[in-house]
Amino acid sequence: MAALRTLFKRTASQNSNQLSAISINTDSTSDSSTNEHLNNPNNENYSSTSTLGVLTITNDDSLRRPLLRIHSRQPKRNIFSCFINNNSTLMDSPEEQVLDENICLIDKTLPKELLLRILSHLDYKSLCRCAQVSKYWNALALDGSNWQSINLKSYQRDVDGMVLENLSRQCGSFLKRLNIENCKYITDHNMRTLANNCPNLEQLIVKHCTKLSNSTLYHLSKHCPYLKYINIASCHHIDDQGIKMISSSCSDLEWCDISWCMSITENGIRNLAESCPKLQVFKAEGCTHMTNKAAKELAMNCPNLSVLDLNRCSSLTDDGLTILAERCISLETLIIANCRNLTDETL
Amino acid sequence: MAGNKIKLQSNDGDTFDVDVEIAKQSATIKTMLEDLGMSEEDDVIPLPNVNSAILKKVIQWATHHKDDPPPPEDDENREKNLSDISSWDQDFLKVDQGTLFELILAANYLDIKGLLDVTCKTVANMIKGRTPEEIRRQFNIKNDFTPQEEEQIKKENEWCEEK
Repeated sequence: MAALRTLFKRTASQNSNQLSAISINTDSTSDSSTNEHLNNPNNENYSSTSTLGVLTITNDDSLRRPLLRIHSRQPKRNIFSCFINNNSTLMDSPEEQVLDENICLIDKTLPKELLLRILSHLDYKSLCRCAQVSKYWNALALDGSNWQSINLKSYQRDVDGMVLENLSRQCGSFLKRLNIENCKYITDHNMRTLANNCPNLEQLIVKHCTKLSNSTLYHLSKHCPYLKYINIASCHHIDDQGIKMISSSCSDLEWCDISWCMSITENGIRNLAESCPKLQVFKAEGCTHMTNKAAKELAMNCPNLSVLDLNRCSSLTDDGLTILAERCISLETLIIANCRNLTDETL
Repeated sequence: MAGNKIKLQSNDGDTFDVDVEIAKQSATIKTMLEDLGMSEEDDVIPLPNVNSAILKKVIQWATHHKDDPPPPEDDENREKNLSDISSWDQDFLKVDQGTLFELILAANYLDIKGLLDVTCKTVANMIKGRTPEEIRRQFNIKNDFTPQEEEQIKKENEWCEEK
């Protein structure tokens, strides 16, 4: 009898040993549990579920998902929730994960705005590759928010009209800044599509896009009223008519570069000066028609001018420069190199 | 002020004692403390969107970065720089994808900009320089284009590839 009682006791104590083993297990499976939860009297889920501790976490999904508004797209959420909480020992490096073939964690875990945030760190090349991954990723990578500012200068050889037109469709009203310097394939027709699609354009650099003419400026003036910065340097086909159109509808223009546009005369510059009083930067390098009269118009109408580049403006003489100096008190940078008709008197 | 602690409670019931100054790196918690006047020691801030494994990681990150200057505001014109992740952060983020994505969700919910930036950049680094097929493999993404669609999309996007 006594022996039996001892046996009983021993089994009981073995049982309790097992029990404590289980509770230790709880700690190690939910690798996070730390010591804090031991201090927490309310922590019933943990202590009652032992190895199922992980599952209690998934129950809370109903709480967390609605806030992120993606719960409806996640029928499989529970399965990989277990994965997530259980896996730190199973999967050490992100490169070597062996996941269920059908589960795409990134798409299922992260809502669109966070995926876009990730993509916002990528360059065009990576974005263009992301666009080829899947339909969803195509929409993400080409989302206009990634393309508010586009600089295609380094891709000039590969950028043809279709690339620009496609981009302008994707970007739509998101596009604010575009630099297509030296993209020589771009035509007026391409620019028309761009202007139609991107009404919020603020900054445009089409320097050395030699095919462009007044027609481009016409479409910009019709559709892009917020233009503040325009660089049409070396677009030889543009003349006074184009300048008149753009300056009359984009009166917020602050920055204008018409260097080497030899067909623009003092009339065009007068229109610009009269319509765009906020002009701060004006560059007219090599414009032989940048005369004293044009300088006077700028001086009278644009008091905010801070940068003037009149390099190689051979028609300019002391009279023109003097009035600019008198009127434009904010002037910080003045480039008058190679102006042959200027004398020491100006300085 | 120094030494003040608050209690943060994860959605699975664990409670963590955290220095107020560390916890305030979370703009969400900062707002809770300042707008709701939750400052007394007994107050427990429940965080229904974060489990304890992730909350523990977040606190670890915030503790390491407690003396950092505030991260710069988002700027559309910023240089895209993916290589400015500190080596501590790189080691800290050597985790499986599930944990990494949960950290992004938590950083977003808690509004900890520094952590959100560094986690998003880490994922961006897993994309950068890879071909579409490599990206699919990396994240287990199914290619749902038809061969014709794929050809078309490829053509439209090849302008940025070096020749």
